[in-house]
Amino acid sequence: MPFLHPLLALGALGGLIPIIIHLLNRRRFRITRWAAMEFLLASLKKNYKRVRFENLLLLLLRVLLLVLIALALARFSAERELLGSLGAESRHAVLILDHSYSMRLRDGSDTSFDRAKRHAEQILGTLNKGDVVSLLLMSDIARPLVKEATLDVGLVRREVKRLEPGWGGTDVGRALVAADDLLADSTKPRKEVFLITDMQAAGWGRGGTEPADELKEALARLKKTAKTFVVDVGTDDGQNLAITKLEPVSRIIGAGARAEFEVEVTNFGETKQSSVRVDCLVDRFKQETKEIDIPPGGTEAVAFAHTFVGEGSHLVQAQLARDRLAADNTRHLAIQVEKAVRVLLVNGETGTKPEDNETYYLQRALMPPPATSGEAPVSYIEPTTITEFETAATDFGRYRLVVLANLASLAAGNAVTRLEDYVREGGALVVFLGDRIDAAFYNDQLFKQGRGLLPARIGEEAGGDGARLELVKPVHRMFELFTDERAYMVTERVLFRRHLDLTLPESREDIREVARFDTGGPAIVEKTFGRGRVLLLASSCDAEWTSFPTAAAYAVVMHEMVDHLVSGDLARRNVLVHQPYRRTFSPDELIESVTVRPPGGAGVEKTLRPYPIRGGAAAASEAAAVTEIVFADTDVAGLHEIELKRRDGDAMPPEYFSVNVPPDEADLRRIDEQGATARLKGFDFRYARSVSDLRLAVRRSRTGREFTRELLLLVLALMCVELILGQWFGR
Amino acid sequence: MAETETTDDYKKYLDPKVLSRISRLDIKARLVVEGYVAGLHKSPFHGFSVEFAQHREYAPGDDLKHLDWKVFAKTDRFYVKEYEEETNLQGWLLVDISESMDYTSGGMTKFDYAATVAASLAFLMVQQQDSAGLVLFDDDVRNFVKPSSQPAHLKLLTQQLASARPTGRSKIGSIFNDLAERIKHRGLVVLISDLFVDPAELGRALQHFRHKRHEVVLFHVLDDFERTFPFNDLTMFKGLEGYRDVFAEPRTLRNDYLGELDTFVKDIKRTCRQHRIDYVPMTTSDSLEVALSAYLAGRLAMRGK
Repeated sequence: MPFLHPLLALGALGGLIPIIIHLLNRRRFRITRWAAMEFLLASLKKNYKRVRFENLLLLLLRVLLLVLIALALARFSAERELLGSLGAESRHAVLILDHSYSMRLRDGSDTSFDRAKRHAEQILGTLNKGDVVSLLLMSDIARPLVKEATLDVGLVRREVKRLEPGWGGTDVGRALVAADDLLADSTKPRKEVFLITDMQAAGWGRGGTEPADELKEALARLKKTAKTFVVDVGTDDGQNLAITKLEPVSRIIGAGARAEFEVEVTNFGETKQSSVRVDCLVDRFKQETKEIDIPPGGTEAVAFAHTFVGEGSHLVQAQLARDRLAADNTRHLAIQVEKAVRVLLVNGETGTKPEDNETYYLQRALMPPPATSGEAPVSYIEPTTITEFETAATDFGRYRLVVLANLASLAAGNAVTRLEDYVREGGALVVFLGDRIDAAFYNDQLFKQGRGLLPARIGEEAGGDGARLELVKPVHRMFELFTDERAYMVTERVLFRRHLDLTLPESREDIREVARFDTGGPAIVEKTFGRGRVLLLASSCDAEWTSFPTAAAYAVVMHEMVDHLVSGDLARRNVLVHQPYRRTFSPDELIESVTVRPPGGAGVEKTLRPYPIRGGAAAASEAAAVTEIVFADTDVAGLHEIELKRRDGDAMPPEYFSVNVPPDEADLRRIDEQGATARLKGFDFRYARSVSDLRLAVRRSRTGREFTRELLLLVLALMCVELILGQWFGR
Repeated sequence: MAETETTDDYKKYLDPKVLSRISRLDIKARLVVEGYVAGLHKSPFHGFSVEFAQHREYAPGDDLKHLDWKVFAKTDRFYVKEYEEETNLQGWLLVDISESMDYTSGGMTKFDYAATVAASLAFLMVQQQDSAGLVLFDDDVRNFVKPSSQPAHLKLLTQQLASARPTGRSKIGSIFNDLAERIKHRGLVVLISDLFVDPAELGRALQHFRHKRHEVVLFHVLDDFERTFPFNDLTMFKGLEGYRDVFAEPRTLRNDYLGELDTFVKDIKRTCRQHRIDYVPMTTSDSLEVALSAYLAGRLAMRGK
């Protein structure tokens, strides 16, 4: 309909009023006897046609007047292209609903998401027969809920009605790219995108930077082919408290040892928050409560400790009192309390004396012998040392970390391939160099032009007067304890007499320089390989080339290194919303199926069958393969329980993993229309704050020019004509 | 009771106010009329009466007492003195009782008005020894009362007027021709009607009376509404005298209606002028005594000339 207020267009029925009045008048007349009929008849005969014509003309004028007034009030507007309005011009509408957890913000009795749903209903109401609609949920991912454009608006309406608010972050750009994808194949002549969001600034990307190419193209295409409406359902109060971090201080949590946890609480509001209570829960029981004051915009840390008696899967939670946005008031941490973290040390140089072994210092650093026998161990790291030749028969998967110390090569039993698989699936590898290594083998088999395990190409030996370390900022976790005034302990006090030159490849996306030599060239380089990490040190593991193993900081740095490298396990157990949870199983675990239970009955439990990822083809049967499950539906924040079912029917203790909300989303600061345009350059949209705004914007865009002014002028002119004619005829 | 009503009924057209006003004004035929009784009116028959008219040569048979001896002495011829005779007037009151006369916009119907005029005139005539006759007609003569100057006659006339009911259609031509033949004596013919008839026919009828040398006075009685056509609202006009009903918006017709009426009245006036007929327009809303006395006073003045 070409009206901005279609209901008012019903007023055009008012055009019937003069006709009704006319008809009523015809029923209401006086009756009189009349004698001088001859004269009356004569004048009637003369005037009949003229009077009839005049009456008709006046009646038409009055009808036209009322109809025009109604049209003007209904804000009649005509299509831009007249032809377009004649033909049935159907639309493809893409509805994007902000499904991030900030939409859970409660304002009175309803949440932003409730309002968003209502707006969605309204928008669906504006669709005509023949229009198709797609539904897209926007969070940090863009999930099409009704992917195929459907004619069935009722279906979409039901879907919207069913929707619960989500737990993810916000990425507007990604949603727009997805919308552009959905519209790409659409054959409909008109395309419309409705983005219903709380206008949270965090979701609109950073200002001042150009959007990525993909996004830029999508925005340009949308601008050209579609009309985009941004519907703001947010509220202006940005006050919010959130737990933004819950981490163990040490990644390795040993059974019976005191484990420390760090909790960070951020005040995203503009007023100071006093006596904020932070509850700490272990295995769902409250252990400790602390009170803190947080300045506006500030973050305060709280530490608490707990001693876990037995090994196994445990839960740690930090909680705040409820506020208007409850989703970010709790953070979950699933931890594995371990008796021991097994580390494999591959010794490349064996000597007659223990200290001649390349791994002597490292082993002692990781597992210091107890001062007196019978004392509790000071470390939960359990190193196992083997020689190069034993690698052929070793299953790396049994170890959390593999250290290659001055190893000549890894020729035996396709060890390189196995090592690659091991790291790719989440293992960790540390490579020390030395005088025994075969640089050519390392470069060919392990570096592989940057595609292999090693982060850098190994060159000639360098040395001279020796070199000292320089830490690359930001300081890597393994040196975190040696910053500022303690930095000298790893820089000045450690001399590298000899080392090998390392050359970093051109592409350095997954490579991080941890430390450099003060003479130039990288000293320690880290590479992310698959889901695992590889650390390469340019010097020797023992004290032959460097004084590091004898330095005071050595043991600490090595422990920190191991802690960092094995943290992959903790990261695997604690994912953010929409990040997949993975769990690999060794063949001897005999896992038949895995059932994942989302927290608090939210969502449906799902049973997954592990599929082989390695060794399946090579091994004679599936039973010999390493298997994996990937649970990608981490849509709900909270602790998830996984139940493992073994093929032999033996019971397995339940395991847990946590899904946390992305902390950035807790920042409820909003941006306005201009802000949004500034952040997403090239995004062309119409902004609406209320339902009526939206309807108006939609109608305005769907129709062309308004004629209200012209119509009112015409009404005025017609009124004058009517008045004059009425006087003239009634003379 | 019924008797009383009838007694009162005939008096209803004798309005004391009207009568007191007009009784002082004698109705005198402006033209010479024939009369039996020497009265206020000059007789066309020169007899031997009071007022000398002319000399005529003596003819055998003339009464010798009328010989004018003085003329004989001067001229030696016999002349007889002739005197003008004042005769009594024979007045005919022709009252239209067609249905259209029954119309009123409120107050008196045209017929009531006409009847009052007729009764008043009759009273006046009888009072001055003239005789008054009455003819009630529509498309035919419904009542014919011969003239008489007896005071009791007045009662008869008013009774006739009171018992008349205007119902029929008006048709003048043949009736008036008949009447013109039937009324032997020259006299005064007073036609009281709304004249909703064919003007040409009316003209011929009046001409016939004039031909018979009657003095004719035309009282044209119309209702106020008929003269002004003041209607505004949509109106259903119920036709009288067999005319169909008309549903019309009077506002739009007023001008033409008034034009038509004006043309009609002018036609009649012209006809009257041609035939030296007194035309007296009357409107039912006008005060009757004023209208009538004004006419009579005017008439006296004319006669005085």
